[in-house]
Amino acid sequence: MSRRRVRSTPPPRRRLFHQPLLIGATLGGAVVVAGIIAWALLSTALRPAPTSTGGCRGTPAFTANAAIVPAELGLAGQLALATDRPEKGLTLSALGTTLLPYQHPSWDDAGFLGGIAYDQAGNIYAAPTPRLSLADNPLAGQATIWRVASASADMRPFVTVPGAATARNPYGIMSLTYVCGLERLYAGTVLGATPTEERGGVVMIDPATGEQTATLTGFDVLSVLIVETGQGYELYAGLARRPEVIAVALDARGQAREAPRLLLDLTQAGASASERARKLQVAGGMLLVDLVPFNYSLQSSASDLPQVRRAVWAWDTRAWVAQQGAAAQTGP
Amino acid sequence: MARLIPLPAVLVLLAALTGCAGTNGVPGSTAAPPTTPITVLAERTGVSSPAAQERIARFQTALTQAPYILALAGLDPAQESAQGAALADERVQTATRTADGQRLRAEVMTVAVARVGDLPPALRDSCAAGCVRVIVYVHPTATTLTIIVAATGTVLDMQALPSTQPEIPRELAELATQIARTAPETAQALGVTPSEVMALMSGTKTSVEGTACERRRHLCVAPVFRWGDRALWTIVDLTDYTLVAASAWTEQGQSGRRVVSEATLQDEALAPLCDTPQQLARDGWALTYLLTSSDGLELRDVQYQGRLILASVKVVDWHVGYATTNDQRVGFSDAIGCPVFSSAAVIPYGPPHISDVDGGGFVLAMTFRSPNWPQACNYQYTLTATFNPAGAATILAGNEGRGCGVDGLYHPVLRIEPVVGATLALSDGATATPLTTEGTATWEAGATPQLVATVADQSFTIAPAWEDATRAYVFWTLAKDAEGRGDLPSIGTCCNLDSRQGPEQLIDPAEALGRTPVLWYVPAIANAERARCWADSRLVDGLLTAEVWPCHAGVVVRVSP
Repeated sequence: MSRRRVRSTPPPRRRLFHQPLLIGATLGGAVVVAGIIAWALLSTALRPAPTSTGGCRGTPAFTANAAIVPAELGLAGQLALATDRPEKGLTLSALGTTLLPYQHPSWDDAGFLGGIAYDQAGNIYAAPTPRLSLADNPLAGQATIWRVASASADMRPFVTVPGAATARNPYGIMSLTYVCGLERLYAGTVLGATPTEERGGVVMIDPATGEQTATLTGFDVLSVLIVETGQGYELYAGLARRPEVIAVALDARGQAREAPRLLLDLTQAGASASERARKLQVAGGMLLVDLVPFNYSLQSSASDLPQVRRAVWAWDTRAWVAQQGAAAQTGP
Repeated sequence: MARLIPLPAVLVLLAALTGCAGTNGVPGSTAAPPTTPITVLAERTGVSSPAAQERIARFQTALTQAPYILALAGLDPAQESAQGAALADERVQTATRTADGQRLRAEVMTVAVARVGDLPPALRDSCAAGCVRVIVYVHPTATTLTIIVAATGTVLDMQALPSTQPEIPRELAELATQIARTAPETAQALGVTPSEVMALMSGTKTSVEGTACERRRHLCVAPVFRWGDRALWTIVDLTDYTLVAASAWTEQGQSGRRVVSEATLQDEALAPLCDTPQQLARDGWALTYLLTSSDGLELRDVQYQGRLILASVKVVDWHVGYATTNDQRVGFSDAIGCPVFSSAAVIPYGPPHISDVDGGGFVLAMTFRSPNWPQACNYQYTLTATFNPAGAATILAGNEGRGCGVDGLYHPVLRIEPVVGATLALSDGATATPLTTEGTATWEAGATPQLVATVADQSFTIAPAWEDATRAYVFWTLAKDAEGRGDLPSIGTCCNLDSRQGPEQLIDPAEALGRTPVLWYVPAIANAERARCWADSRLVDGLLTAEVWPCHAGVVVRVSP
């Protein structure tokens, strides 16, 4: 008798991937890959708004020292340093209170002040700027940056930048900004400019040594700001001769690596022909610009509250787009 | 006595390329024109355009009856209804009158269907059936009101934007263009006759661009006329209906884009006066004048009938001080001078004015102003030099308020340098005492002393022109380059009540005068509210107009026959 081999139905094969799952996984993988490719493309094509480089600034240690700053002021809440109050020099006020501002005895030694900046240690840098008269701001002092020591609050001359103010151009250092990642101070100036020649610019200063490096020359600069673009640093300079802001790409050492380019035509934001960018800030995807009239006479220092204009960042064109109309006043 | 502000005379000035540099190679940036622009500042002598006069008449009527706002005519019924609802809205009424109920000149600029982009997000649903946008401009406050009116006639929203100019309707753009075409200053800027202007204009491209009259704070537009590479920029004041300025230049395409405003054209027209002395000769007198960085308008090399009398006359400083509650005095030491590139805090907005004097002679005058005058703590200063054909020159330093309050005391510091080689004597009318060393004196108002300057065999006197002064501090010093021959940024402080006005520092120790003396004359003038050294503003036909109570003091220089 032969035996017939009975074929049995083999047990179902165990598959590692269920077909629907396989299809889903394939599709999902494709989506992931596409997303990665898209992100790579977008990250080069679309760029987030430049950001501030001043986030590391430290609170001056003297504000917590009751032997220097009266305790009632130091504990009153948010403190603000200012140079635009009626008092000559630097003042420390408690916002939202009626407390009189504090002024260290040395804080009026340089006369009226203008631009200020802070480093991460809480040292304060300030530049003299005449206000309606040279009586308190002699021409000889216009090229000197002063530093307020974080611990002692003592204000003393720090560095003197090249150039000299004259009776025809009584202005000098117009703005200061500190860059955290570079640990450098930048000063925008109009020193020595004449009616027919721009002699100002931007000077980079090492706070540790006082060493100076010219970063931008041949432009009279009223305001200066360094931003981080995601691909490095850029210097923004508000010009003193025209209602414009220019930009210069910086290298890793904080020095210009390209020629300046026009960043913003402020007339597109409603600036008049006589207005200039006196202060620049980036915050929340916006570039805020304080506008004031400026014509190198001391009447420029008598301007009203600045008109604030803003530009918003366009991700697609990677540019600031000026917005018509006034914005809210910028903060201290 | 109060007076309304006089209107400055026209002066054609060639504006050299000052105050502007090139683009520094930044593409797209604005630039100074490579050729010399011709900039002419206009004289505000009244409204000549019949169309403008008709508008003014309509304003005057509108101000007498509700809603007290000049409305647009020729609208369709729906727009007319929306306009009426907008103008009657209490928020609009509040924005177009003062706190005490006086009406401000205001007019409707636009009545149009509100597009989605015109609406705040919160109103888009409410306006699904259609809304109308009404734009009103309030001239005295330079405020633009945007009112959204629903189809039902309900006013949904009103936004007020201060210091903002609206888009102007075609009617006003055409009026601005017509004013620019027919103004005599336009022909001067082009260097052609008015009839040739019309011929030129027929072949030009015309546009009306935005600009700002940031000093007079009026609604202004810029009609621009272009033919070939030539351009004529004009600025027309649509509050006054006058030309502000005209500037002709050669464009350089996009790389030479130029932006102008009232302030920039005024500064451009005056800048040459800071570098190039101007000559003036008439009625027996000859002199040069120059705008200094901080010493105002300086008169130099003043001659009478060919004889040099004065090397220099100028106002070096204005001291103004006020009493405070704790017996301290506070104030300012104001420098007047060039509008650009200067140490002047109070600058001119127009050129010097030269006018005839009835009966012979002429006046050379210049005004310097703070930006927000006649508001508090803003100042207007004048220098007025009157030259008489009989040989007398009266030089007065003037103030037209407003200042920071009452109990203000002004001390203008005049520096008067006689011709080199002069000797000085102090005369009481009977006796002349030679002055051989530096010194000082105080004269009370009404006194009649005089200084006698003698050169060779000829002499002239310098005597007080008391006007509004109560006393004068007089100093005579040796002329030195560092003591005022060049620009003197500041001398003395604001607030002393005695002879310590600055020049006393120059006579310590007293030196021999020699033959190069300088006279410093510092009168004291007290202000008085609405009487002397004062200014205020009042509404006239809905517009703010300055009212002035001037004060003056100075010297009379009289040449002996």
